[in-house]
Amino acid sequence: MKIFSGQWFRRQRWFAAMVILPSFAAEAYEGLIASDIYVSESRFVIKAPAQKSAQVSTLANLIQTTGLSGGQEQANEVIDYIRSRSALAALNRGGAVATMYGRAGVDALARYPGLLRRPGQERLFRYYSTMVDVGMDHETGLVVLKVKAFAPGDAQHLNRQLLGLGEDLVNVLNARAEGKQVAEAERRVAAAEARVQKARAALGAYRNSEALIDPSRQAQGALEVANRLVAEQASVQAQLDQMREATPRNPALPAMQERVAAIGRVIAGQNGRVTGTSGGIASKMAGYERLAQEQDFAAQNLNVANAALEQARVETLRQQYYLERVVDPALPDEPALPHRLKIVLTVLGASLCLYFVAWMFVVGILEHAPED
Amino acid sequence: MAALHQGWVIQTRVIQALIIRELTTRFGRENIGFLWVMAEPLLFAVLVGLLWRFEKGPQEHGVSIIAFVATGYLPLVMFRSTVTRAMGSFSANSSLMYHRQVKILDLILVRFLVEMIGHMMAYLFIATVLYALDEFPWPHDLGYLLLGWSYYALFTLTLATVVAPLSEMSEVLEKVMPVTTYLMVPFSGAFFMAEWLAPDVKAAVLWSPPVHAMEMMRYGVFGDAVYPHFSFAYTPAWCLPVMMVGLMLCRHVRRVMVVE
Repeated sequence: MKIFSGQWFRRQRWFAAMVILPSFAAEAYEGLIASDIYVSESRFVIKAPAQKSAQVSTLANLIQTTGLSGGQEQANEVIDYIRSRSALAALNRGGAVATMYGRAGVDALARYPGLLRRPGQERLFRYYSTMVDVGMDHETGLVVLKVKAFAPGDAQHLNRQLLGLGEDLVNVLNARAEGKQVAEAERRVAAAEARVQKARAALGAYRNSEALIDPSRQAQGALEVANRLVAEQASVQAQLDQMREATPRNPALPAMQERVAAIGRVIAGQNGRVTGTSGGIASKMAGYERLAQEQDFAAQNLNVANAALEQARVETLRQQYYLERVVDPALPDEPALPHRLKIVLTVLGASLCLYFVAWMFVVGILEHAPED
Repeated sequence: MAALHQGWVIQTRVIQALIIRELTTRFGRENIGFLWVMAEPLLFAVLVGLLWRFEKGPQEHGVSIIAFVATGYLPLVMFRSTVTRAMGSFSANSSLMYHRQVKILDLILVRFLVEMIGHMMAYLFIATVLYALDEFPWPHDLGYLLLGWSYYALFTLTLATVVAPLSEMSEVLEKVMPVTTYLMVPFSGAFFMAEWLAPDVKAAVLWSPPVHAMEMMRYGVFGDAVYPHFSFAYTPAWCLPVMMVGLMLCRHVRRVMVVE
């Protein structure tokens, strides 16, 4: 039984150097030196209040359903933000992150700054990227945020902070969206109100300058008077005619005739008030109607703008996304990493593969060697 | 224990010697010699990768397409060439049967090992070159890659142990085998992730053991950029019974084989 004896080692020195040594090194590091890593995991989802699409037409619905469902887009924004340098900068106020990963007692290979990592902004960011893992859970659609640290409290604390940053981001995005939509609607309402004011003022000025209130009703009044007078004139004329037939010498006749003529003159005067002259109501009608119409339009416009403002407010309320924590970051009581056995086995497997490849290479090359 | 150790030493020596013999007889000593074992799969993977690259653009589902093709194609080429080489491996090497130390299984094992190590070389080489060109990611999890590779190798060896004795029994198989290995392409998982397929197709494809191995490798290389579907137990559970059948066939062939 001469396995692992000195002689065996001499004969198998390459195998020893390429496979046994790295495996033992990995074993020693993982077993004796490597610090425990604690993982704190949280899950959240970005939601908006249930979208009711009652007032929206079917076409708008079609357009709405394309693309990402509600909250998905915001979730991606939050994920990218957590991975970004600005999130790290927000966390690392006063070098908090750097001290957390550089605590005393953490092994030199894994820590920051350590044997493998010089301190520096860019290096810290790279290190942070390996320690914070955020992504969409493919099956449930929740966002999973995992934070690794060398102490359970650190992992949980960092995870909480990151969740808080995510919430802040969602609020900022909400505020921006809301500000834009409602401000636009409010601007339109103000413009519509100004237009209504202008139309009213113009109409009032016209009434004063032309000395009339409501030309159509005034014209009607004048015409009614004229009509009554025409009827009266007709009855007086009839009396007059009858009188002439019966008593041609009646002394009242001239007075009667005078009365008919007077009524005729009054009728002509009334008609003249409405039409025919340049100062008549009919000629003022066009200008008046133009202004009245403008006032109507302005009023309608104001109604529409007010409705749109109301809708914009409702819309932003509906689009108020919020970050809902499904799983709060837990305080891990056992280290989840490193998978020591797996790492050692991986090193063993990889070195074996490399050894075989190298062996075949060497054998092939030796085959080519000139034979002595 | 000592006998076991002795046996092991002899076995390894025999295998080593046979591998060297295999390399020399197959590739000769001219020009680059045994390096051809690496060149064939390399050429295949690179050319197909380039073809896809110009056909479909640089990325597919968020993964570099050249890397995707290379990772899928190399194991597939290993499988196909091993199964093809396994045919007729007994009759070609029957003279070796005069030696008591050479067992019939060694012949299959040697051809398989040459292919596997050669393709491993190619894999290493192509990955290194592509990594330097920024077309290949740093493996997300080497453990999964190695395990997937060993599963694929196990499946390959299993089929080799079945095909080799069968090819001795019937001439027809030799004519049919190239077609069969070609038909294996869609069930090898080389050109897709199970996730991209329609649900019923996905379920059908996951009956195939190499797909599990391939998904494992892809996860090992690309990490969370892909959604792998695999089970750790399926490939070995499929391979072991089949391998048993293959070993029984080998025994049978050994009995009836005529040593010239």
